[in-house]
Amino acid sequence: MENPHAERQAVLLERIVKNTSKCTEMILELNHCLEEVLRANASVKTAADLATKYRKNVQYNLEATKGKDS
Amino acid sequence: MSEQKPIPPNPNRWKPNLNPANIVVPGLDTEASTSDQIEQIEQLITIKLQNIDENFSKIHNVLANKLLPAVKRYSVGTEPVREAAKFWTSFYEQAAQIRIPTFDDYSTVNDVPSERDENTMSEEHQGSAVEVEASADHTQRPDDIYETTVNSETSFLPGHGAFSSTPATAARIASTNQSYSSQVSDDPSWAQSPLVKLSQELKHFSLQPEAQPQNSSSSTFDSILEDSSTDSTEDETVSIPRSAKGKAKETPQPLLKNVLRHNLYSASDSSTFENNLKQISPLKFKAKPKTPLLDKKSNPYLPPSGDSSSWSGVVDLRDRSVLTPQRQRQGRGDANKSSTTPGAPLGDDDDDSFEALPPGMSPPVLMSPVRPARSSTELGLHRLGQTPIREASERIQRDLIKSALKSVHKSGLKNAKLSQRQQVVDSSMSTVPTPPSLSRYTRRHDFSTTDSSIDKDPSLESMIRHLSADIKGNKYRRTSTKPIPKATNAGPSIPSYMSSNQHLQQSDFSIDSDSDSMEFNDTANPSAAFLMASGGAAAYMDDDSFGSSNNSSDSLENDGVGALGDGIVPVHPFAANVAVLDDGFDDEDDDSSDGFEVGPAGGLAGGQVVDDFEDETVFGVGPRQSVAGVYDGRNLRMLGEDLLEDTIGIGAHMAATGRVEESPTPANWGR
Repeated sequence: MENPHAERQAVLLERIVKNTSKCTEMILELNHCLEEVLRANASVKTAADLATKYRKNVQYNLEATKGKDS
Repeated sequence: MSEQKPIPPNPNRWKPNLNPANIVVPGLDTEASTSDQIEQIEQLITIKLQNIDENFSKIHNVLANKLLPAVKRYSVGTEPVREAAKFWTSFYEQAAQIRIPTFDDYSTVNDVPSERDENTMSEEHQGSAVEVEASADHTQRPDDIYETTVNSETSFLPGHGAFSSTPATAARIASTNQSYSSQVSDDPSWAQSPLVKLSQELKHFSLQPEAQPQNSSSSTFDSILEDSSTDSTEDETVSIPRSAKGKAKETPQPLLKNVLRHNLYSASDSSTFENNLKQISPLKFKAKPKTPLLDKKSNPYLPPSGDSSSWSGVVDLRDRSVLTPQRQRQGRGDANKSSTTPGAPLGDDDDDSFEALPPGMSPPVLMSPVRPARSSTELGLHRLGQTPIREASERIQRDLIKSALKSVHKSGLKNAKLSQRQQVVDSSMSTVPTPPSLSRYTRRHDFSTTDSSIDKDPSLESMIRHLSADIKGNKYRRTSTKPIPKATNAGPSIPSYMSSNQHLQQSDFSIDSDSDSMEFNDTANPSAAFLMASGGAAAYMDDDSFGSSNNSSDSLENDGVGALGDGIVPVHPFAANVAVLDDGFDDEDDDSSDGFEVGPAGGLAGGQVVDDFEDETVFGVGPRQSVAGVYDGRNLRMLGEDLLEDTIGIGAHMAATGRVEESPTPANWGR
């Protein structure tokens, strides 16, 4: 006779495989979304870099022109 | 949901037990019977599997219901941040006059090669004939060189550089391919180092003057592009510092695209900047492909008298003269000078600078397909800009050739009528010194009325009149600053002289052309082509002479006319007609005569003119030269194309300088 436990375990294993595949799919999608967000936010990074550079330049200019001021 | 449970530490990793007797199954009743133990083990396994399954299902649930929406909300939530970042990026780009390649540019950059291929295809299609010819003799060289220089200049324009920020801009690749197709046909031009390219350019440049005479005499090209470029080369090679007007003129097919594009994206001050960039060596730009940084010469913060090498790099930002880059300041100063709008207060500066974008910059908001329409309407190109220049020129060429091939007497009588009519129109126009804009419109209106009276060959005639109207219109527009102040002067003012002279001539011609036209038109056949040729040649010369007033280095033959330019220009619409009628006089009276002095009918007026100007070719090119040019067959299309493209270039300049200045003042800007 068949082992009832084996049947049940087989069903459980099947479910597990299905769930893992779904999880993999979901993770892939998540990765895609994150990539998009990162790409879209690249301009933010550029702007931040520019702002930093600008700040540095302004700092330099202020330092350099401090002597001429007064 | 608010607090997460602390993650339990992972249990020890399972290891296979060597001795099965040592296996300890937790929760197993070791005292029970074996079958019971087996049963229990099975149940434990099932429970474990259920746990696993539950966990996976939980994972999936969390991913689908929490993480993914959270990420999407994040991306939506950062949208304003991105917009703000875009603004600031463009802001900094404008301030530094650079182009920062963004993520989107990589996709557009990938589009460029396809366009380039298309361009090179067309280039090679046209260049295959060029190659054959150029290998035989050097006739073709000047064209190539000329186009090379032009291209290297235009492609370094910030407007263009902003459009495609890669080294492989379409125009540059195309130009180099074309220019060196005779020598390094298969060698891709980008493989050469810039130094090699430069040396080759220099070599060709030295070859250029020798090749020119051959060019005029033995050029066997009939195609439109070749003609246009050869003639323009002769014009332009004499004068190395070209005026910006010349640039728009000789634009073969791929160049034209660039010119238009370049006009679209920086219609405001591109032409001025173009001149500004002329002294800059192209090497620097080739070395720095991604961000077309400007050369030190165009440093906006450099004072006009400052030396670029000794610039410390420190700018006192509180100084008001440094607030805006130098170029913009100058442009605005010109606009203020010429236009009636008073100088904007300082607080306006930010807005202004946004309007008058530096040509290199293209803020994502403003650089949109909306701009072309606006610019075309602004430049006043509705009429001419709608049809492509090439098509128009081809049409003109076709029609002119057709008319030349047709019998001449067909248009003889009608032509006399037309000339009279035009004469009346012109004299009436010139006696009353109207403002240039008004005169342009009324002139056009008059021509449209004369349209109705002509039945034969209407398309050609109308087109020619159209073109001549354009010439005159151009002339009036360009010289708008000159005749009006002179009219107020009490001295030897040209308009008054002109009007009196024209009254005389008008009466003369109204008699003479009536009687003469019947006789000589059969032989002399001043057909419509002649009318246009003489008028166009004269007016064209005028244009050049006025262009050279800025540049002082146009072509040599224009110097004579340029000296007379101030006096002649207002008269010119009339002069064109005189030239046409002059043919008639020559043929009637004395075939070897030079025109005016000999003809008894035109003796009075002609004598006066000659006394005043002491030059045979008062009216630009002598009528015979222009006629010869028409018969040459090469210049047929050239006239039309020049007119069209001149008009467009003028429109751009007018728009750039507030419709008053003749041309941007390039001489003062490089410093």
